Amino acid sequence: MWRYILRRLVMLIPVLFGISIFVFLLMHLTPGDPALLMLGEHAPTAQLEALREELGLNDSLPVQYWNWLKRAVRFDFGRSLRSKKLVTREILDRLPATAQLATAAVGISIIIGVPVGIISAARPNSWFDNIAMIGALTGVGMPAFWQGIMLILVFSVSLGWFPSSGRMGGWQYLVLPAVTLGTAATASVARMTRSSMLEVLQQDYIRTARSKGLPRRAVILVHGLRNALIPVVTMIGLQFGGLMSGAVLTETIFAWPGIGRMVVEAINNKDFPLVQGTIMTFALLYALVNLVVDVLYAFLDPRLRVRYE
Amino acid sequence: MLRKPLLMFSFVFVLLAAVVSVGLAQPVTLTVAQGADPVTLDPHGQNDQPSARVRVQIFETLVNHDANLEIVPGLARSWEQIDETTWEFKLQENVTFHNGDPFTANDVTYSFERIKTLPSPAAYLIEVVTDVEVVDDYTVRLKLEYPFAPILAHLAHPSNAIVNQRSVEEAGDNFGSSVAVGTGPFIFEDWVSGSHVELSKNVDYWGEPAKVDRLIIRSIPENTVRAIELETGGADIVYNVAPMDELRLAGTPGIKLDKYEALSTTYVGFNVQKAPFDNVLVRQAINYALDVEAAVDYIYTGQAAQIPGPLPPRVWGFDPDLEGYDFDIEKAKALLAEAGYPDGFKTTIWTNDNPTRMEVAELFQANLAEIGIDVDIQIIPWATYLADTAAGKHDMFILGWGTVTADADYGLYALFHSSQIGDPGNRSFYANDRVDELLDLGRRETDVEKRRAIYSEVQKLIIEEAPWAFLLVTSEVNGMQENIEGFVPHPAGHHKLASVYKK
Amino acid sequence: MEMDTSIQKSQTSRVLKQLFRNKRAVVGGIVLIMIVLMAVFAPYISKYDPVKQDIRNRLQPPSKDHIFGTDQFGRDTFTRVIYGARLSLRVGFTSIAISLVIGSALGLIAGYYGGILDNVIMRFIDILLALPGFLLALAIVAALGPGLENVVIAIGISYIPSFARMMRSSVLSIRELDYVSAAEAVGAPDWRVILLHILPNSLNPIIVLTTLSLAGAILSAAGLSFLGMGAQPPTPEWGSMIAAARPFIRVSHWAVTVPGLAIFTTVMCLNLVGDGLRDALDPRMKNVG
Repeated sequence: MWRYILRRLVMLIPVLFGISIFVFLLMHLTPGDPALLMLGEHAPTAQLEALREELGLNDSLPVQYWNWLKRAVRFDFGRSLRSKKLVTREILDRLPATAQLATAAVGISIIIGVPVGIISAARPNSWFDNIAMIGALTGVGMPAFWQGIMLILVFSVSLGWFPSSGRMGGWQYLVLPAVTLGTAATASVARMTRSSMLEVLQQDYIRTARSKGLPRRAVILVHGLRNALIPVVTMIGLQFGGLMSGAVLTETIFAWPGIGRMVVEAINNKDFPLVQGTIMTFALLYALVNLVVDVLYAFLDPRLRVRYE
Repeated sequence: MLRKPLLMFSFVFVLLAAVVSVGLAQPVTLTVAQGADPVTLDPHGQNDQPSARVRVQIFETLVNHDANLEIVPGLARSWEQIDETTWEFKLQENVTFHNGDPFTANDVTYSFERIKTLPSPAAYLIEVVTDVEVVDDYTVRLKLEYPFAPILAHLAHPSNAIVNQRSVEEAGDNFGSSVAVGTGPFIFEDWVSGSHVELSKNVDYWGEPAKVDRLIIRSIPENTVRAIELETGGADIVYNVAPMDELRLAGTPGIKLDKYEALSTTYVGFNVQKAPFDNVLVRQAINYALDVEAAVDYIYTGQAAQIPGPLPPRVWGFDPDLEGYDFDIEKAKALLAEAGYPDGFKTTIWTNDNPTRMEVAELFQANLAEIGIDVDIQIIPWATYLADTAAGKHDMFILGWGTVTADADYGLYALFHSSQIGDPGNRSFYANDRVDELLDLGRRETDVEKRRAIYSEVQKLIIEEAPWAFLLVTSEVNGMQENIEGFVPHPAGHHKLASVYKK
Repeated sequence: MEMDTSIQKSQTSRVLKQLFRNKRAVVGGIVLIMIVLMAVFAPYISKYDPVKQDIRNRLQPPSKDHIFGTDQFGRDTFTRVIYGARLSLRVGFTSIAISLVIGSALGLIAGYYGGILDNVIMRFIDILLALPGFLLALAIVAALGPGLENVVIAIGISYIPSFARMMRSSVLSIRELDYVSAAEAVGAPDWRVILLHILPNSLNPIIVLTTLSLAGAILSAAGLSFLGMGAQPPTPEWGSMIAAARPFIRVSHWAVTVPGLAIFTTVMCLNLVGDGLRDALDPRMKNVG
């Protein structure tokens, strides 16, 4: 198992290297002068030139990339052009908010998605199944930015149950953004649980268990669920990608102080180091989550476990 | 016998507890919401409104603008002009910084040097100051490069706030993010990035102390959501209530609105060196063709007023007798034909992704189509907007200007003087010898009436020459809970909150 | 060979039969066709111009003249939504066409030729996969600048990995089939094997993936437009309509609600049809639900 993890970690290096080139180029091929951005529109030309020199903007692209990479591997992405704060600092300041939001959303997706999927699979084509699956499709197709606005109107303005925005302490602030972000994930998890359950319930050993006279409920929960959960775990892992994307929109609407909102602001401000740092952070987190999921997957599925040991 | 003293004791204890809890009344927190996170709390860093709104609570300047834009004492209690280029300031005594250091003349020297060497993005405001001379601990003299009438207005700008040398040097790169030491009525406590800044009352403040114990300034980017936050009680005061939200909040019980005319104008600039905008008739035609009233009524829904020329009315030097352009399609068509474009032409208008400006651009696109001008709207991100308009890549563009010093010089010089073409602010690439001459005269003239006459003339000339399509001055609306008292809006938008209290 | 096509024909009819038995897919399909028809015949359905302003008539509630009211410029919301269908569908189709062509080609080459080529292509795909799709698209649009064309390119790129991976794995499994190996053994040229055997056989998963990706692409485009990085005014794109009408939501919510429902309905129908297709085309799922 450890060798497998190690191998996966090593395989990460070229991918991160590749994405670093991509991120670096993306930001350097766009118009907009970082020096001008830092000094403001009234800066004298001589100072601008000096700053360009200092920032290495006059070097060739490969040289700039190499210098950037040398620092990036130590998580040093320089300073934000606007706030002059260390990019790493900015990211660390904002990361907990996003982590909290994403965790809450995953929690919702498991707590609601898995049971709904199981019940649907236990009674396929029942009224419950039909409603749940149409509901799930609704969740998948709902644009988060629209849903967020609607939730605010209903639950904070009309009913006054939850605050409409911010993260000022207290779980109440988390509810609406987490529901918005978690909707699509919940829907996917419910769909995945259902189809994976259905598949497992067709298997021979389940039929055998049933024919031995074990109660239906026990068969489904004990035998079915364990095996059906394996693809569901992967699914939940895959949701993280969607959650990171969703966080960008959700955090913008709810004034949630996370890195999703920060990356949009950084892009709008052409704050190159901040954009680079955030995107690299996203890539790294995504890779790590996928790794954890794969390991968990291997751990849950004995057949696979043997292969990796 | 033992019981009685015990009873007695507990009675006294309860009484004491009650007295103490009354004496230590619940601390009062004021929560304010604005549209963006500050960039830095260092007054000599990025010069943006969200930052300034926090900084003015912590840091102070030598002189201040009051609500009527008169200059009043700040850290300087008095001043006099010694000769044409020398100003002497007597400083307040008994002022201490939040870290306990006393405030003296050396802090003024240090701060002004820091503004110039960093340089602060707002260093241009005191470009004219060549030297700060310490006369004694509480007296400084500012030497100017040339006679500069609006110097006091410039010193009142929040970017020229006084900082403490020891705290700046100790904090290093953290000054402005985790450390901010000033002399103001509020002390910096904490900044949760993307969420809020927390300040506490400075109990040792040298002047009238703040009336609340804690001040929280939140950032909520979505206008609608910010207004909702006021309705749902998540904020006591919200800045920049959008027009649509204003309409709705106006009828909401428990909420009051405070509206004031700001110092910010919005205009359409032409690239006057590019055909067809090099033709003054075309520029005048467009001035006649734009339905500014519709923009004011329907897009700004009353949060603006049409202005005849380049200056907002509250700025010193604005001439109330000016005549601007009416909305007159026929006149516009005639002028366009006279200019040699009877069938109009194709061109572009730039705007950044500010929603209101995008709406204005859409309205003007429709207006100009009426006189045959086919306008393509291009939305340019803010970061490249200034650089690209400074480089003259545009045909027409929508932009604003805030006359932050409330003086005509600031509202005209950078925008119309030929020495300021491009980056400094003259993005219409306009050059006119007489305008240059008048603007130079205006900044040196110390006689108030003569100065006023100079600015009258230059405004008339600029309106006639029309390097811009003159549009409007915006007003701003703050919304607050009914129990909020003592709020005095600053026309430049960075309101000081020490006088605010809850009823 | 002949037997081959007849098998395919009977399979097609079986698939269609299965698809039509699936009520959800049928409903989704009918609604989708209606949306497409509305987009195509937009000028005949509505007498209003989607772009021309009538600002004195703004933010009207629904009425006989404007069934969904008017937006902040007095434009008919219903008209803008059906014209918006043109854009959103076009953005969806063109971006997925990009990923379909490039992604499938890459997957085909990687799977068919294997070796170094496979390695290089798949490492490139891994890099694209290192970021979640929407963030990748966001980063690309950030670099290219806002605009609908750039959104198409960005979303197109962000869906390349799914198509490449899907194609590659289906090529690998098809090559194992006896008659394909036989064709290769008798020395049929590569293009012939690919064109006659591999492509037809990998069609099923590609169709399913295309349908489902379309839904995702439309949602992503709306999201990017919402962030101000997509369609620019006065273009009636659904996401940018929501973004632009958002400040007025408390006065008149129609200009936000209707495009929101339009995105939602389209995406949901595409998913219904995609699900139906998957159930009908994927033999493994044949017996299920």
